[in-house]
Amino acid sequence: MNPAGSTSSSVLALRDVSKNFSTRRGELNAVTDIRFDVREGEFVCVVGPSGCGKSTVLNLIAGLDRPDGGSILLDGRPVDGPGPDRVVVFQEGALFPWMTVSENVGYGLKVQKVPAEELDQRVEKVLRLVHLDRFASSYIHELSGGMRQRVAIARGLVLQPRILLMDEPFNALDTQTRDLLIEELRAIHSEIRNTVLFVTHNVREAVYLADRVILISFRPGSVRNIFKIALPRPRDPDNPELEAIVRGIVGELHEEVEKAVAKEFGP
Amino acid sequence: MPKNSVHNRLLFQSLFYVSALGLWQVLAFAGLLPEKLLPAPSRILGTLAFNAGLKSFWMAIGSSLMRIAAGYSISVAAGLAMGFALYRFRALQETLSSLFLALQAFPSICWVPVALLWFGVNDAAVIFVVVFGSVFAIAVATNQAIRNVPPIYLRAAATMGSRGWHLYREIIFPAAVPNILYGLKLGWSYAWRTLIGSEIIIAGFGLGRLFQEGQKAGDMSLVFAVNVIVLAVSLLVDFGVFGRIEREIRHRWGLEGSG
Repeated sequence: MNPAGSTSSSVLALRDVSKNFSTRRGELNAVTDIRFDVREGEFVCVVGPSGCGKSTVLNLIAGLDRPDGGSILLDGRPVDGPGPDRVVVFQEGALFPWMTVSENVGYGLKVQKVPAEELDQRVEKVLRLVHLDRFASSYIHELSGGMRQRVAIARGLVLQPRILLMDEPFNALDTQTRDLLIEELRAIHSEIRNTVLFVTHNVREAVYLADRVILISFRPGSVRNIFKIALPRPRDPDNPELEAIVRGIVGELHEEVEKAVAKEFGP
Repeated sequence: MPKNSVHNRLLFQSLFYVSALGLWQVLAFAGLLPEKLLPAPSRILGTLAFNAGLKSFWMAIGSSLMRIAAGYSISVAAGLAMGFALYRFRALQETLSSLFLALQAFPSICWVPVALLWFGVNDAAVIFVVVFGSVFAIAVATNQAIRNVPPIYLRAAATMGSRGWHLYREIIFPAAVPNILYGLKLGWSYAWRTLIGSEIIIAGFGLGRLFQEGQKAGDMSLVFAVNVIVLAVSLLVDFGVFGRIEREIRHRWGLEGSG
């Protein structure tokens, strides 16, 4: 046990994390008392109504924002600024258009001054993992939306981060492509057992993928409930048990959405 | 279909210009134009052909091109550096950016008296005016280009561990390239105008000297012939150099169809 109280197998620990934003209408308490752990190899999904601050939580973990209170520990050490041990896969538009697919994927390795030969091998391997090896020398604008997000995933995976942070990565995709990528992400995770924190507003997607689903309440966002999904993998999306879990989470989520609506349109 | 429409447009354009020149020629031939003020295209062409046989004509063109090359290169190097410095150091941004904006709009010919007093009547004076006439446009555009780099690129690069010089070289600069190119193109046209303007005022230099000769001798066909040279250089650089680079970059950056 380290002083923060996280167990040795916990990769990420959030302790009473809070974040305020100043807006035109004054200080906004975006998230408060956020407290959860992510263990080695775990796939954790974060769901919540829009505007609940789930992306804020991800940005805090990524080090792109600084918390106003509490602490974020990676392997027991406080997070300080962004770094390749916590790569983020963004929703869209974060790939570099002037680079080819393999240059995009190899970029983080280049930053770390990985030797050219090793870099090429690692890029090639991860491109095969996401089925893009044939498109290594394509430019980003030559790819479909689904392929672009695969590049984004590959770009994160290649750095072998302690935790891969995914911020609604499939939001901009059509349903068909989205299902395909969710399945691919599941297959990748079952193969390499990496640690993933996945932010989404889609409960079904979360239950299909996750070991645990964290539900964030509406403003100020804090952990309302954590659902353990014990179903064996690969999961059948039509399985009634999975259905029941989804319904349970959606029920609680709706209560939070109601609060959001009341706040927005209420007296 | 697009290829065809490009062909049609080119055909239409050349038809327009050929007939306009033809009309001009016919009107001049019929004696309907004052020959001393508006010589026929054939006469201008004749003057060009005659001058093309003179060494002094080519030397005048060559010396103008050398000065623009020197002046523009300095402008590009300094303008890029200034644009970056403004972005990098907030204090510079807050103090100098409005000055640069003002200087960009400042009529560059106003630098001529300054240059003459500082440097005397020589190449350095002309180059000075060219640099001051174009460097601020490049600096302002470069600064804007960098400031307009989508923040998500910086965030993505940061989470992959990129920072400092590497971030500038590998992400910020390339992301800004399409807009920086726009600044370089603008700077070029400022530089070229300023060069010809200051050469005409200072005289004794390059194409400006040829203009002066034509003016003094009342030789309108020479004045027009030099105009043709100036126009040719403008077109060559705009379409031949910048047009090419722009197409290449727009293709590589995936910007086609958006402008």
